[in-house]
Amino acid sequence: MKIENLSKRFGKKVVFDDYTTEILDNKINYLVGPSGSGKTTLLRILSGLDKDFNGSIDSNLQKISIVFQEPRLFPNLTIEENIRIVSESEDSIDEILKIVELENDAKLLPKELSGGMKMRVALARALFYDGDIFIMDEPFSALDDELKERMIPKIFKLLKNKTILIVSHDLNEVKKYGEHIIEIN
Amino acid sequence: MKKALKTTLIVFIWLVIWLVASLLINLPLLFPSPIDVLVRLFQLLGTSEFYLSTMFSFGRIILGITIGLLSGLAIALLCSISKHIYDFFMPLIAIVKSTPIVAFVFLVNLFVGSGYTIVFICVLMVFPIVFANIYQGIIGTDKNLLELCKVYKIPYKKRLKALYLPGVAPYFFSSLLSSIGLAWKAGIAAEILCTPRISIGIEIFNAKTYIEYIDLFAWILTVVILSLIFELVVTKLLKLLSNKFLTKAEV
Repeated sequence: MKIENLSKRFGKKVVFDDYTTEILDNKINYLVGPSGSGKTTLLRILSGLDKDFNGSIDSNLQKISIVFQEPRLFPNLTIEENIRIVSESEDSIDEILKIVELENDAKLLPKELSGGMKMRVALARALFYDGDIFIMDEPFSALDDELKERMIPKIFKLLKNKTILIVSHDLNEVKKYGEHIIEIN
Repeated sequence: MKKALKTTLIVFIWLVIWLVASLLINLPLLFPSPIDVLVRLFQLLGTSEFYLSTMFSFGRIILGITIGLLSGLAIALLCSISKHIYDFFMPLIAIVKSTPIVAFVFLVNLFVGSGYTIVFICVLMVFPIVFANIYQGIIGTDKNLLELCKVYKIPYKKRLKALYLPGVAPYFFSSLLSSIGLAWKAGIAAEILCTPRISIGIEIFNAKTYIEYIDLFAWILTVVILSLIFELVVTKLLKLLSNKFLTKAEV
């Protein structure tokens, strides 16, 4: 996926000025950079939520699995319903729930979950949707180190040969799993 | 059970206060005691006119509430689609909200029969409250979840169940409950002014004209009881609806 000559501004603040980069297909792409450098803005542009920009994005992606910085769960739906709402598929979600270690919590409501658990539901939802690309904004930041160690390899194994774009501030995570690193200054 | 006992006790205390006040004022023709009023109410309950008047008034008010509810809902939905539609309807809503209801009673009664006037007045009471609450509910829908729906291309039917209904329902319920009481008050007031042939309003008007204040109090008590029963039924219905569709919406 090629992003060419991207320009984006919020009022007088220029976020991108003729920015060009590439996201490698079927790889784990990490997007890194200081706060306020435009990482989330780039994810919003790529996911089609922000169309007010100049430049071109060479991609024919139809199906995007997204994990926002916040879990964004429907408060009246159980975990299972929150995951299933994104797809008409009748497939089992047991394996996905096992990966995010929520296999015993499918019937709980979001208000009964901790911040980290909610984020794992958001991850499970993205996995169940099975998009052409996975766009994730700091998806593992709310998890403790032990859980990260167990969960991240399982997720990447499941997403083998998928295009993944992740924003992260955890340099160890980036070094360990990143196959292509995109820096924004 | 405890709640019912408490309510009965509170009602009883107020009846005692009423009784003491009537004894102190000691003008039974102008300020009758609750005993006289209840006796008269039971006498009225034995007449067919009572049921006819009650049914006609009840029917008109319910019809007005229903139309007000549906029109408020429909216009709120329309206005949420576009700001231009909202701007178009704003003057109409401002007029409905600020014009004294008596002015509408006289104006509408010039063109349509008194029965229709009552219905129209109830619509005017319910419509702006329902409209304002539902519109508020719709535009207050969680923007983050809307974005999520957009990226995941969640179909409208699912959005309705998971996002819009739970978001709008509390506004809808509270607007409905607060407008019911107002519709009853305005509906009966309009009946007193328009005096349709068969209505609670004309009974109140006649009782006042012929200084039959025991009748007047009995009819007022009827209105209060009917309004309370109706509100209670609606509250129970709304609770049932919210339990079925909102607490655990099925997708």
